[in-house]
Amino acid sequence: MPDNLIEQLKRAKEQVTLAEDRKAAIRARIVETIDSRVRATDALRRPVHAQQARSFGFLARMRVITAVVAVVLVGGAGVSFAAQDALPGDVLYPVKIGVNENVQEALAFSIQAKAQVAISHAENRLDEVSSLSAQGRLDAETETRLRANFEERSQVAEAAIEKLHERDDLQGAASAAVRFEGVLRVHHAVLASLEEDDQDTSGTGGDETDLNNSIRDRIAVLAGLRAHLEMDISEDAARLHVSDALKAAVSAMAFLQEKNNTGDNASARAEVEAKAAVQFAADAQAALDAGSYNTAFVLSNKAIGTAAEARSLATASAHLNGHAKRDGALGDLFKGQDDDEEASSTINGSSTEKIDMNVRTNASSRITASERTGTTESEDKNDDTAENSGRSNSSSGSGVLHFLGF
Amino acid sequence: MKVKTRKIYLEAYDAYADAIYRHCFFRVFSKERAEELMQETFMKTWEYLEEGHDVENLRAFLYRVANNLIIDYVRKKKEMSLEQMAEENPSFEPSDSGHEDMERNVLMGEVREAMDALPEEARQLLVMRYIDDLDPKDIAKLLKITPNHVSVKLNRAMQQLKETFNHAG
Repeated sequence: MPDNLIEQLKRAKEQVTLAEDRKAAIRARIVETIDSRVRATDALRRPVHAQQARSFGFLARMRVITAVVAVVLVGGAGVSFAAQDALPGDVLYPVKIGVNENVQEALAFSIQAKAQVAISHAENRLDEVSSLSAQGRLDAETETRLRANFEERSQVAEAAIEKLHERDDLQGAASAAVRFEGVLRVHHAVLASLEEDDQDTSGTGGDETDLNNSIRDRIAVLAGLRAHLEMDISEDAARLHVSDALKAAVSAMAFLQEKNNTGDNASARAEVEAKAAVQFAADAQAALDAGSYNTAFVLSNKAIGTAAEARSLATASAHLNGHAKRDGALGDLFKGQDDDEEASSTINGSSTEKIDMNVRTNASSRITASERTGTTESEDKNDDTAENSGRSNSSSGSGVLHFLGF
Repeated sequence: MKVKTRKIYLEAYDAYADAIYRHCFFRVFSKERAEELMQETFMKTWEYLEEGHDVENLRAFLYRVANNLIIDYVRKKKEMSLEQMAEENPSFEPSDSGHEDMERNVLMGEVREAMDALPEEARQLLVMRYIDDLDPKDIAKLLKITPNHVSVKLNRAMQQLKETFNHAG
């Protein structure tokens, strides 16, 4: 080791000191900032420790429920609601994480509800990454933290799905898995598009980020699980799933009506997806009535997955609306894809994807032309096995993924 | 809990602000940017604690946050135009501006020139080892690599520094 170099570095080090007055001035600025943040949130925030809330113990639940009541009583419900759209660095962000999400988590009693809440929080982190990125406010540190929280929430969701599976609640497991998959597919595409924008702007080529790689891996695992779950379905599971699919589709339509349609491509696409979800659900009901339980289950998966995508798209569109890079992110995402559906499915290559595309196209065309061009509704039990052998490995549960280039 | 967290946090500021500032300085060679990065490091850390997360080793966490912010800064700097860069990163500013010592400034100028020529990773390792006085085990934990890997990379970084010193000299 060249000692003289180390010596030189150490001598250089001795020259660099932070002046006491500068240190004190920065300290004062930090204290002022953190105290004002504490004041802003203290009125709302009860001492609900994240770990206590996550333990789901009775006392922890009671504390959280008390916190909800307290928040409402001090008139903080509005603030709590306003915090829903807060981003890291915003004054209300600690309320979103420390109050809203802890409350949602502690109030989720069933395993399915826990899965749903974890999926929703994982989606929040992805929304935050996209929004900050579109606003040019995403720094490496925030990205690292959001990714870590996304991974943690995703693991909770996956563990809950696994537990449902272990308990033979195939319908519950499938329902949560396709919802999560739908959410991830939309965000994978949005993030990929934002990254492309960045590369176009900076003139650099680039690989996918770690976050998007992680999303892609999770999609693959969920798709595998879904395919597995679709293999052997009882009548009861099919009935429950169809009922869940109808609720998911109707709820997606209502969700879109609540959100202000921004009139852009993404909003329009979200609407098409929601309508397709309704049609998938209707097809699933018809298959169920005809006694084709596996088909009913597969179509229900499509309805639930497509409904989740519609909601995610509408949310992402609302959050990215008005920011400079937004058009690049969501606008381009769907540009020209209506015309290129067949081409894109061919480029993507696999025949299974083409089968999916046909189902999706059939559903859409039925919506617009009120025609029944598909085959699913006329299938009988004999067709059931063949239908599933073609789709079980592919059934994406979604149409939008084809538009997104999966 | 909040009061206790605030107390621990401010104690950490008093204990580590100088070290984090120095770390930032030797990564960006700008007094002003180093102060900003140090302040941002502490603010980000507060935001993390405020969200209810536990941090086992606050010192290590601060270095990790600072490192991420520096990487972010360096990435942005690469995208700057030459004019912006000149504004952003003025020529070397000695800390003791009231008593400029030519010999010292020459030394610092050489160190900066040599460090500037190094890849970001090599600079990061040298600063952690010889400016922050972190041992390879601590560096390994921070960078999530093995201590052996740290030693290998440090040796390589030292060789690169030697070459750039000789070249500059």
